[in-house]
Amino acid sequence: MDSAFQLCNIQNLIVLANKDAKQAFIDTVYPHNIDCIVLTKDEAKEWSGNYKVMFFGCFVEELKDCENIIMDEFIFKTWLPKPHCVRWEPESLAMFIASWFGQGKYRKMGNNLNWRFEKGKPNDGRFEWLRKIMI
Amino acid sequence: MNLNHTNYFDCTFDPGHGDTNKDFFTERDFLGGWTVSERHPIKGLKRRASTEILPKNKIYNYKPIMLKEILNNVLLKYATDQNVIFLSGGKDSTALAHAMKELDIPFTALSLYSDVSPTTEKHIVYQVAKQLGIKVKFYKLNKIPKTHFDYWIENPYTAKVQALKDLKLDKHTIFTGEIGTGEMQVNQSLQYTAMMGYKPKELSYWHVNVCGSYRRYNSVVPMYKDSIYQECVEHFIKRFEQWDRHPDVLNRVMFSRLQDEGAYRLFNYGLDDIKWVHPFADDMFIETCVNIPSTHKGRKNLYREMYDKLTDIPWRYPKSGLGIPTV
Repeated sequence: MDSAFQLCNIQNLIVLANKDAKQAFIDTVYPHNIDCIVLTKDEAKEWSGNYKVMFFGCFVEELKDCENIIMDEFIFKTWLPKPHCVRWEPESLAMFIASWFGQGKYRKMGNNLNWRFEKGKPNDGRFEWLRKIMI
Repeated sequence: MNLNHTNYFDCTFDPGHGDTNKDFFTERDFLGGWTVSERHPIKGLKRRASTEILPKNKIYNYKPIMLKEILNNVLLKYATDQNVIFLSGGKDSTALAHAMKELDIPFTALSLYSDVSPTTEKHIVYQVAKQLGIKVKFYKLNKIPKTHFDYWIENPYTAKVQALKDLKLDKHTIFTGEIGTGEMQVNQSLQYTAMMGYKPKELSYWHVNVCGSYRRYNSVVPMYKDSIYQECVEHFIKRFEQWDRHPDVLNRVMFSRLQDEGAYRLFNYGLDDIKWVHPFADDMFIETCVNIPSTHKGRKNLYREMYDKLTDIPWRYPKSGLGIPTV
């Protein structure tokens, strides 16, 4: 489906260390957020342009000028004990990825979430500390 | 009322009264405000969808300039001396305003904005208006009043009608950018196909998940075990089967949700007395648009191929929507 590559407007790249890591990502996380292109480190070296790039277990010098994030430390937090861990599930990692790739919109257009932070449910106090931070 | 021929998106609900059909509302929740089945809010009654099939069994080898002719004909046919365009600063309404200007059709450009929503595209509208050499009437709306929708929920429609009535423009002919190619959400399905090959079943799950989550979840994974959720997915699997007749696989990937979502987008406009025209949804335009080679679409700027002097301002900004809360 190379022709599909020609037609889509690719902005979001996920880069992993090798073929096995790429396949593992495609099998677990990718189905929960298909708004990205998944590459190995070697494949990524062929890509030049203005992308947003998430690196897992690797870094590609050729993409250093793109907006990028190295996920290794974030992922490692799953191995820490509570309450300091960030316990990733494929779905939550996919949501984090989608949110990070969506940052450009917030920079250009501002956020439209304040109303939800203020009035959104649940409003039983569970998220009060977050609400105070965000509004 | 919808003035122009939008037969591919026709939809009616049988008139009548009776007991509430809870399953209709469950389905409506799964799809984010609309439905795909024959279910009706009243038990025993049915929704009637268009029987026209958008994909054809051949590729239309027309050039985009042909689309320009078709669109111009629609504009000239329905324009009066009192026209309104809802100018959002997006690709479709900007292309529409450009076309009307090029045809010397007089129109009032109307734009909704909100003080409370930073994502309101007012600054983009200013730029577009300057580029087109037109004046824009801005209508401030900080809250969309909660409206009871008997069938499908479309809050931006409520906002538009309020603006038209307040500004006494509701007797004008109102042109919208509904079903424009700039609004077709095709990038994720194209990326998925680029990565995984043509996978209609998985994309059927994506259609339901992305609609039901108001564009938040680009997931191809089954999200619920509910039989009505599964029915929605099956509906899109059948849509893909209809598209099997069409030789261009990427057109299938891009447009398999269009007839269903398009029917939803136009539905509420068809219930009132305002004279609405949706040029991009016109039969000949949309049929040609989806059946010409996919190479003209996706990231290609089809509108620029139709109108070579069209501004690129809307393409510089992410799509944000109206962003005004409904309360």
